[in-house]
Amino acid sequence: MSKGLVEKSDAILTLKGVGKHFGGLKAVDNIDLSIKKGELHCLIGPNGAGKSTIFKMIMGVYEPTVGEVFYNGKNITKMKNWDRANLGLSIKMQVPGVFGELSVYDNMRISAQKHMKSSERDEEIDNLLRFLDIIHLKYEIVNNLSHGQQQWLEIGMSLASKPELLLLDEPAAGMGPTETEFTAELVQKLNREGVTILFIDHDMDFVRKIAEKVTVLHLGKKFAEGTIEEIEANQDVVDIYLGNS
Amino acid sequence: MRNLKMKLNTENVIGIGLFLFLFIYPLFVTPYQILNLSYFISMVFLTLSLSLIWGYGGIFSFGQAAFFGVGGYFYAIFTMNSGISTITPIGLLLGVLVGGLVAGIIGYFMFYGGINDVFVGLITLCITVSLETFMAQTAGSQWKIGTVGLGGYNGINGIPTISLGSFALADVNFYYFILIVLLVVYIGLRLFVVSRFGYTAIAIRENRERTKLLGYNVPRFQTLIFALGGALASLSGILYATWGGYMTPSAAGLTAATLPVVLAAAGGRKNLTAAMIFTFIYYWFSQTLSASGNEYALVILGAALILVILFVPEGIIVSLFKLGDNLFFNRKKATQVKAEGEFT
Amino acid sequence: MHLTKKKTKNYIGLILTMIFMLLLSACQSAETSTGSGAGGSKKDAPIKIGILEDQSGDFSLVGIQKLHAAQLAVEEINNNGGLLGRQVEIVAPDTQSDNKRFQEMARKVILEDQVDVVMGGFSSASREAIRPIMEKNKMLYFYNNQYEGGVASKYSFNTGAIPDHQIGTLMEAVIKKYGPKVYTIAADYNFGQISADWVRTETERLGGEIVGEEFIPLGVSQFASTISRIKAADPDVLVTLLVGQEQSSFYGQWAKSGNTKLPMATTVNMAQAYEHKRFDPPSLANMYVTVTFMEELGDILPSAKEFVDKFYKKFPDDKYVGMEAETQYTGVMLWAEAVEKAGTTEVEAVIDALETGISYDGPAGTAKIDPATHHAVRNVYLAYADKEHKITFPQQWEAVVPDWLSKEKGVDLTKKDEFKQYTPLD
Repeated sequence: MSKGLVEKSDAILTLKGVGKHFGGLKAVDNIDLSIKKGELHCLIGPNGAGKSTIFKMIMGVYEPTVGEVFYNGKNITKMKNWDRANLGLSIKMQVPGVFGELSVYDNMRISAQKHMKSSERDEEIDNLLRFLDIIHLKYEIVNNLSHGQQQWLEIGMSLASKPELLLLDEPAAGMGPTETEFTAELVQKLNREGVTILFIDHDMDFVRKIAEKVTVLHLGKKFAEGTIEEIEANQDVVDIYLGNS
Repeated sequence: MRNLKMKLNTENVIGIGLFLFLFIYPLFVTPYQILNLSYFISMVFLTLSLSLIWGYGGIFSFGQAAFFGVGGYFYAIFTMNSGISTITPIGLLLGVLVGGLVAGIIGYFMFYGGINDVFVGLITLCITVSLETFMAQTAGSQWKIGTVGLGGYNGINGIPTISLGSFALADVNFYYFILIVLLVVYIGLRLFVVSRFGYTAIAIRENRERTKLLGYNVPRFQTLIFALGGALASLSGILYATWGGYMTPSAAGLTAATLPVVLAAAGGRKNLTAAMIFTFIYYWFSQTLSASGNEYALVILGAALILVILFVPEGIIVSLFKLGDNLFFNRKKATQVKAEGEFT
Repeated sequence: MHLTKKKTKNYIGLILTMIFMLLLSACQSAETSTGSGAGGSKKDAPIKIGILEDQSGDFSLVGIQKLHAAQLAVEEINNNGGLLGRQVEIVAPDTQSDNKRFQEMARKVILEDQVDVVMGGFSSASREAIRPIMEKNKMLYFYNNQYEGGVASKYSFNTGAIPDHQIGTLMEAVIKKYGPKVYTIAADYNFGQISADWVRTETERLGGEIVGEEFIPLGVSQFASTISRIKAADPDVLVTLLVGQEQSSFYGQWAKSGNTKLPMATTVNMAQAYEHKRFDPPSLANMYVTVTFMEELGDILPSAKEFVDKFYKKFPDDKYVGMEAETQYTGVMLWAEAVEKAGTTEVEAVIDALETGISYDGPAGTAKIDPATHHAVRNVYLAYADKEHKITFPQQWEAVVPDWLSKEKGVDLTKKDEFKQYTPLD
């Protein structure tokens, strides 16, 4: 595959003509997406729109059927998922990918040890746990944690690699109002510290609170893009949400 | 490395106790019993190899017996071709390396090919069966490597024991040699599983895909740990060959491959000490039954193993460790945090 | 730490399991084990024989017959005043058809039970596993079993049937009667390969021709393609050298789709694992086997009948008295003769006595030790199973001498010590 022209913008992530076909089904159909460095960008859309699939193609879990993925100008379409993680991409998946039988510390350590020296590691783990406000649970077995706490832990694990781009698939899913509030603050804090964030969520309050830019997907295609106000004012967007049950 | 301080728990207490016992054992038993225990110790490495790759790495292998055979046969052929007794330690080291290498090559093709879980078990099973069948028919004298005939189903006998310099290890000396090797390997493995490699293995065991997304080259690590398991199994085969002077395809075949799986499962595969202890118990128990001439020895053992796996699926020794911890060590710190680096 | 319901159940299960295991180990039946070392004055202390046979596992069908045969022999010796005025005791651990077990138990009976002689082993692998242990410990060892031949070892005496006894005689009989074209199917390991090699040599010596030769890996139980090849080759005789439960399924498959008029010849089946009684006719129809003994020999030989009767009297639940039972019985008796002659159980002296050519008139006629090769000179009987599996003995050879080792390999253990196994596969 040719390297293609690299756009001379401050785009950290670019998808060009990316599609994922499962047999005859086009789960993702010709997406062009550009995420700028430092952005807090949200992907929304009805169920089955292809959002999680796009995330998986960014992280390398799926390979795109067509199209290319660029990270900081580099073509990563065929790169192995662990190599992408080591480039600065990090993800919190929809289903919590924590190690339930281990303690919070062990979970953090598994992530942290890959990306820092052992002398810094434990201090850094503590910092992150404090940041996520779960330091008091350091030695608890993860299966004993609440769903929300597990989500935060997973965010913590994603952060241990000091990512440049953080993908969050439904970070506030299953959380109550206080927890959602906390998560929103967390995400904003991270963004202020320079982490580019691309997230998926269905909770419109949550999206409204934090998203700078919103892309709407529908049936695998890009449907609309803009600020949250622009999107909410867009009647077509409202229709696709109401029309699809 | 600051988590190396040894915890006071049942596992460590029993582990230390066991080694102390093993070290003073020769002082109060007959030469036959020393010889016998040497044999048990040689088989512990095989169970440990499976505990490492399966209990910690999540790789279910039916092929550890095959590497056992590779090690034993390599050692026999290498040392018997050279004819010099001083080369035997080199034979041992090379045999371990060869076992690891063979396992590494097989692992490479499996893990980089994306093969995992039950399919690894199937492939290693096929390898074991093919190897056993092949070796069984090498009876003719065209089947020679150098001057050493492979011997077909009758195997190779007269395999030399280890000699340190010109001193051939036998009886008590051999016992202490093999015991020290066990101690070194055991400590090495215990350190390994709390190191970053151990954590990586466990992460892979728990959730392979997630671990990849955390930045780990999972196939490479699986290949390496599988190679290490192969090296350990190979060591077991070599020590068995030097103990008994004999190596045969049936020692590396299908039946032999099943036993470490059962022992690791019944003792507790996620704990090295448990796997080790249960191996000792099983071999002692089964030999006592056999020596008594009881026709139902095999049936009794099978029934006992089934019961263990039904009632205590995480392993009987591991459960005993936990019981001990609850009774003796955690009482005071009922609500306190568990110490670092402990895997349940 | 509060116990959840699940944990309580687990702990109870754990304790129950442990109690169960302890109970099981406590109620082992110590059938014939005698426990540890020799004590007391040598004069009154019993003489001990270590019997290493498979009482469980794949080979137990024959292993138990051999154990019982040894027990019968020892009982008779004891009833006749013992050996050198002392009673004889058997130490018989179960080797479980497992070569490793053989190694363990060999060491145990030598070092811990301190037996005066070891007898046992069915498969050649088990023999080769322990022969070096016998040699290292200078222990007298009797391998009373059929095998592929070739062991030349100072401390080993191999009283069972070997190719010298069985194959030349067998091929002579069947080629003469049926014709020169022979098809061989053999188990693909030492015994099968070496026996097949002997069959080839003997067939060609007798002016015959091997029209097909197939080696089947152990454990294989499907023979469809083999059967078509046999039919295509159209031999006069089919030689089968199949070993193990799986391979014996050949006979049922052959009876269904083969040509049951085609005579079969073997050195392995019927006499040991009594397939002619276990499989329905006509699976083994038209089969010839050369044996040193089998139960049905009692129909034509009084000494055989006597042996079979007293065997069933002592062991009424046993199913068959086979070739190796007699080999073991005779082996024990030969050893006893040698001990009487030597006046001691001391190994070197007994070996010297055996090497004078000790003989014993046993259930199958006279058996005599061949001094040079440490094998046995024996009568050989040709057994034939008809389509109802009824056994007759159309031919016999007297005092067949096992001289391949001495003639072809120059072995003479009376003059020069050796510790190896020769094979003809060169």
